[in-house]
Amino acid sequence: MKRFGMAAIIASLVAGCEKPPNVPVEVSEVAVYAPLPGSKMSAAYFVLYNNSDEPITARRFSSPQFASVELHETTTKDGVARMLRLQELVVPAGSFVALREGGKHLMLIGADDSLGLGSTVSISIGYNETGRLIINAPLRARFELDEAH
Amino acid sequence: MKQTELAVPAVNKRYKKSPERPLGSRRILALILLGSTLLSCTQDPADRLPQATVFAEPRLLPEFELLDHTGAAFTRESLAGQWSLVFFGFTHCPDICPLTLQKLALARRQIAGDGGVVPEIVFVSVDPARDTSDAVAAYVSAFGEGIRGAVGDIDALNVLTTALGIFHDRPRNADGGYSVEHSAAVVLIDDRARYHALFSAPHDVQSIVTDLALITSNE
Repeated sequence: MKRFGMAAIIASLVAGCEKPPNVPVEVSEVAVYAPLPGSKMSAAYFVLYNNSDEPITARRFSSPQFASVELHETTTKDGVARMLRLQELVVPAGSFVALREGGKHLMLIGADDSLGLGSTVSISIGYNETGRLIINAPLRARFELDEAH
Repeated sequence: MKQTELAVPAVNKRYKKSPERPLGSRRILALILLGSTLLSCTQDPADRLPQATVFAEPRLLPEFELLDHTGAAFTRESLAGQWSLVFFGFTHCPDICPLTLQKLALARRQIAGDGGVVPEIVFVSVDPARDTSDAVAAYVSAFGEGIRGAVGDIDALNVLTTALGIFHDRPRNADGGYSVEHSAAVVLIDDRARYHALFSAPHDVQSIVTDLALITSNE
């Protein structure tokens, strides 16, 4: 019985480590921030992996919890910060692109009033002709207010 | 992150412990070298130069008239009496503005914990069409204590931004909206309302903490 229990634990650990087969596109390090008080804008960050043998191009972004979702990039040149809207995100075959704070990000515009910290939001990333990846993530705080005091 | 391994010679257990003997000249030399190495490793951070651009002659700000996030007047006199880290941005900015304010709030928290000269953080909106005192009040409330918002019309803003060399613009987009461009720098105003130093982007919490300790200790 004891041995069976150990085997079951090992099996579940192995299953947890395995990637689903044939996943061409996936994300990690997802961070979706709650809009700051008084603002209906926010941003999402993640690393987008392309496990396939062909480059992918992501162009369609949406979320049922936001009026629109756009791909943007913050650039700081000569000390001036600008935010540029990008039309597409190309991820080479077998590679990844990181969306990070202060760089590329998904801009989440027009937040639903019902959203709050911990609310789960769903973000759809459409790539190539028909590909689609859904990210489900809870809204995080930008800054832990309690620790600030 | 790649870790650097220290090359530690293995102890050769075949050798017996050597008997006590007086320090020879080689050992004294080795000790001096070791001591000097340790000293250089434990150099007081206050001995280093700040990474911020510090003005040899801090410049008194001109008189300006803005409103703070409570709707009260925010003027040059408001900045006297405490050190301030001033950042220019806008509340519809979802990336670089909250990121910068987060770093300033973290720096402020660390300085308070260290018992240093705690600066006030000032967030000045360069988007007068959308940012009211109320909007800025809600926005800055997310970053804890010791942060003040400020708003004003373009002319009023320009009095302050021109004096500080802060760029801001609101170019029209093809869709009829506009985007906001602004300097990413953080300005340090001293407790006599003088432009004292400039922190260029990208910002680093530890550099701000160390630089502020260095700068304020020299005053």
